[in-house]
Amino acid sequence: MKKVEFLVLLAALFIATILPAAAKVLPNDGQANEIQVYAMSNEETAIVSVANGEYDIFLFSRPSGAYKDLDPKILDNLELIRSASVYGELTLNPVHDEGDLPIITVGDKVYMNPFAIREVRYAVNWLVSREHIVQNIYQGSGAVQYGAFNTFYPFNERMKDLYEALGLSPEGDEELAIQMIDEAMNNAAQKLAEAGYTLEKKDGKWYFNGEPVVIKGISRVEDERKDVGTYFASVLEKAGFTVENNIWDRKKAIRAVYLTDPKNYEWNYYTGGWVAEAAEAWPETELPQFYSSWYWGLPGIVGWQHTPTVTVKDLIDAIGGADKIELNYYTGDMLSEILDFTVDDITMLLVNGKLEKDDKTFTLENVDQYWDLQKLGLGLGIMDSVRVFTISQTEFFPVNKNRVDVKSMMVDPVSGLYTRNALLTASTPDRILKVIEFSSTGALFMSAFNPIGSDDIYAMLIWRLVTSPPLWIDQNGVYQPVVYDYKVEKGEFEVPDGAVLYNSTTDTWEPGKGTAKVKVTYKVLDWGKWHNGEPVTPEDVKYYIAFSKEWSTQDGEDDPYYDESLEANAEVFKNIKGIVFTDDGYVVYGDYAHVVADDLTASYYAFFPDLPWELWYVLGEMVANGYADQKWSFSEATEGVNQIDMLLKDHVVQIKSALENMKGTIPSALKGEVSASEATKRYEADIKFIDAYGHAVISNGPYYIVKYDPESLYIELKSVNPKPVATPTPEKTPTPTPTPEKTPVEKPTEKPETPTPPKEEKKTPGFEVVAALIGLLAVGYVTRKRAR
Amino acid sequence: MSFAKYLGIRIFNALLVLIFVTFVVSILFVKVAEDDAKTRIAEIINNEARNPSLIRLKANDPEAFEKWKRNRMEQLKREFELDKTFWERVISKTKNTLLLDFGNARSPVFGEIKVSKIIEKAIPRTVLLFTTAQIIITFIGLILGIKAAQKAGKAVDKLLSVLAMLTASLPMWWVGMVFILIFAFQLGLFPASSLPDPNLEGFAYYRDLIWRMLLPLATVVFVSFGGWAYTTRNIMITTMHEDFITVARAKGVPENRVIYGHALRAASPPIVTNVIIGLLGSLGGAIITEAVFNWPGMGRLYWVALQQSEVNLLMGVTYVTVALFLASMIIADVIYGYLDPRVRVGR
Repeated sequence: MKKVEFLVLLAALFIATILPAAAKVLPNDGQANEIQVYAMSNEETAIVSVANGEYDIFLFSRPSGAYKDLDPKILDNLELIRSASVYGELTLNPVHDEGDLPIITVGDKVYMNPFAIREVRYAVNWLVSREHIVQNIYQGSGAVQYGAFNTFYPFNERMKDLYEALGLSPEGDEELAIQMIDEAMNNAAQKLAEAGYTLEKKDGKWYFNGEPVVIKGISRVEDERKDVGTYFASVLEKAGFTVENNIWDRKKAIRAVYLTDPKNYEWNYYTGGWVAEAAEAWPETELPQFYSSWYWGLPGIVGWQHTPTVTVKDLIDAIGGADKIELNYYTGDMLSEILDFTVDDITMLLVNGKLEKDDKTFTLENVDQYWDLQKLGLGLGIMDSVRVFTISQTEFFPVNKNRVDVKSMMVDPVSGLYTRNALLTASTPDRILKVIEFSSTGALFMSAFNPIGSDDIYAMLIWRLVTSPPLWIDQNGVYQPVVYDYKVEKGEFEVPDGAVLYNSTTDTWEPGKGTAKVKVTYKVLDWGKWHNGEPVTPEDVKYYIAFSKEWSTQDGEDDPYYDESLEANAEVFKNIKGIVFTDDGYVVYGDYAHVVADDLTASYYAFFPDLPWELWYVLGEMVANGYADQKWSFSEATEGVNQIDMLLKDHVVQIKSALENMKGTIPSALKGEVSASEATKRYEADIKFIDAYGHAVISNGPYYIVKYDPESLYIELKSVNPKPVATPTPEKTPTPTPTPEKTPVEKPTEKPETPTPPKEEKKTPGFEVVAALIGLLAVGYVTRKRAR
Repeated sequence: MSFAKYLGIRIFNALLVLIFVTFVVSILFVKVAEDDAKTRIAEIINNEARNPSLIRLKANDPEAFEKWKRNRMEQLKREFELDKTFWERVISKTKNTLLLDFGNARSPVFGEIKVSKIIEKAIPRTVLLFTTAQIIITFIGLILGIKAAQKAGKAVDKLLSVLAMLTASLPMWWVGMVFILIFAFQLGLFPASSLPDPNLEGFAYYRDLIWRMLLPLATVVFVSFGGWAYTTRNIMITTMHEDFITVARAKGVPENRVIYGHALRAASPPIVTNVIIGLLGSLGGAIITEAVFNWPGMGRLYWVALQQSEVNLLMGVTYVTVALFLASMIIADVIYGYLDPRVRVGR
């Protein structure tokens, strides 16, 4: 297939998968009755195996180049699902000595740092051709990105007028950029001259105090960023700089850029890359993380930090007037009030909902204001150009189109198949979904399997299939109901009697009080059951909230009921004034409300447990107080401390033992809520489940784990609600339709009584042929020997 | 010097070498892991920082945010053992490794967390594939090498020389990928992945395991037999030019007896030495080949340990591999002395 045809096909696939992105009701029930997950260390073998029908989905995205040279017969069997979660940028080090001069002193030597001059950094937006990066370096596998927002975010359309107003174009404008750089450098030269330094351009090269102005780059070696760095070096040379482009690996690069003080002046530019997890409806993190100085790292996370000084006025002047972009809130006088805002002010206002500046209080009030601030903040970030974004990279997941009904899959426009929704909606004729993962490390998971400590993509995907989230993100990045329906009310609410708060120091529920700015009501749509057959109850929710509060809050220096990785959740509890538990959910009275996004407010206060209360309790006790003469942790795996793994045989034995020893124990957070007999029944159900399945992953999701074989890199999930199987599979598919398995949902603690369906017999006709050949050879040899 | 004393000295020297190698390897791995750990910590923190809750925390309560950052970095430093000094880690790892206390991996491998158990699982699989292959290579190498030595200079010998050069210069992992392409994808004779089917049990499981093993086995044998045969051929040719072979032929001893009874017996010391070193060396597996075939042996284990900077696992696997190599040297020494009285010591 020619390259052009291939790209057209990819574009068509992209359109086919992205257009039907209208919000759907989020499923909490899978189409497949069985999901078999395998892993392989060889990408090419995996892709071809999917095409051959051995597997249905390869859950690892590859750039279009990986498919370009495949045999058309292989490609014909594949549907390529796009992922666009990776995006690249050039980080420019703006470090300089105190004052206005673009110089940096390291030891005895004074260097001139061109990127200390904002106009030089800004000119990079025209110096590089993003089109060249996308088409030539990434072989068309991506889209141009101008600012911090991934091009494939649903709201990026709103920003297009800003990019146009700034004059950004995919090809850039090298001539214009060099003009801008020359102008900026000449202006700097005048200031430097007053301080006794010389900066001049001779024969097309810049010299500082008689020595060439050197720019040191760090280009990552692992991927296309190596070529991006090399390309950037070449255009910088054209602009008159002497460039040393260092091609470094991840370790060396990250240490230099993020863990070393920029004042060491080890680098001037770095080819950075980021990953977006899913589509976003409301950009909460990009502007603060990439452009602000108060939040993270500009440019690194240690040492010297850059302070952006570009104001809204500078932006408006640069684009030739506020009418050049669509602003719905900041018009006329409203705009003039914020002309001196920098990106730090804008991001603080967006994050906090209010900003105190120059003895005035600014508040965030409505959605028009929100998007105007996002647009202005983005413009300021682009003008400041400490990070110059270049590409939103596209990659593709191969799916066997003869087996999987691709059109019915809810694919995320950004993460592709790395979403719960996609796997739940993947449908095959025999209702068996065979997924092959890429394992670079030779293991299925790269972290211990527990709901707190699992942080690798594959472990999280399995968790999302075996658990039921309270809310989940749809294809537009909006949180939609899954377990809970919700209602957000803003205003002033008196926290009612009966509202409680959990005190993690006294381990008791105390009355909530005061007034709250938001009231969120959660109603459970379907309580469902735990995989052990016991019903999910309001007590499970109540205990989970207490547990989350307990473990995210450090009560004293040596609090054993505290995990550092959960500290971020403590912020939520600081904003909760009281909770009223009801029979069908709960009502939260809180102080935090997202100004415009009710779904974000709802997700903020939404709690729904992944494990039954007694399992949380037992695990917590194991971690806090040790068990079986061993130390345990949810998130830490250090010498002498076991990070709980609910699939690992040795750990499961201890968990079961702890359940047996603590059988019937009711935690203080549920005293008076659960009877002793109810508690005992719950513990026994957990123990039975562990006996039946050999693991302790007892959750409430649409799937449960029936088999885990780490040596074979295999995990098998079965649906709690199996569906009828359609007509036998078409000829192309080698997998025969198995007998539908009757999974007794009422008694999932017992293994199914129906006989296990016959396992797939892979047709390997070659086995008989080879055996026959060996037999013939053996006969021939013996005959010859005897003939001698 | 008595043989026992000689053996004792050899074992003692081997232990010294083992201690030295363990110490040096500990320094290397701890240093590399330290660099990797610092990078990972930065990546983890960078990633977690994108949590909107943390952004709000920083905006509202910078002190609490710094506390989170500090606590989280301390926790991660503990996890990656950066809370100890470099030399503390090196000495601790060396000591524990020499005492066969390999500790735990940070995340489970092959369903185990204890390094010793992980290695226990990997070794039998490596034996199954690579040691089996080594045995087959030895036999084929012997047969072909002897044949070529008998017909030195003739077509058989020339063919073997060319074949040896060709197959020995092909990378095993590349041959593996070609074999998968031809025999698995084009002809459909073998499965592409060598991981056993987890849905089979009993005899069906073992049948499937052996079936899946055939392609990687064929790959290893194909790449290695030529070199082995050529080595055997060279040793045999040298031996067959000895006087006692001429005498045997002159006495009218049948040619087969001359070859197998006299020449091979005399040539056996270096051949057996190579066999032993090859057999014990095969227990180390082959990293890339195992990755190509998805074979969960010692090679793949090494790869996993490198990828995840699992220092304990790296130390354990290296220790076992070096210990096996040293053991093979000692065993080879002993057997050589038994087979060739001329090199016996202590007499």
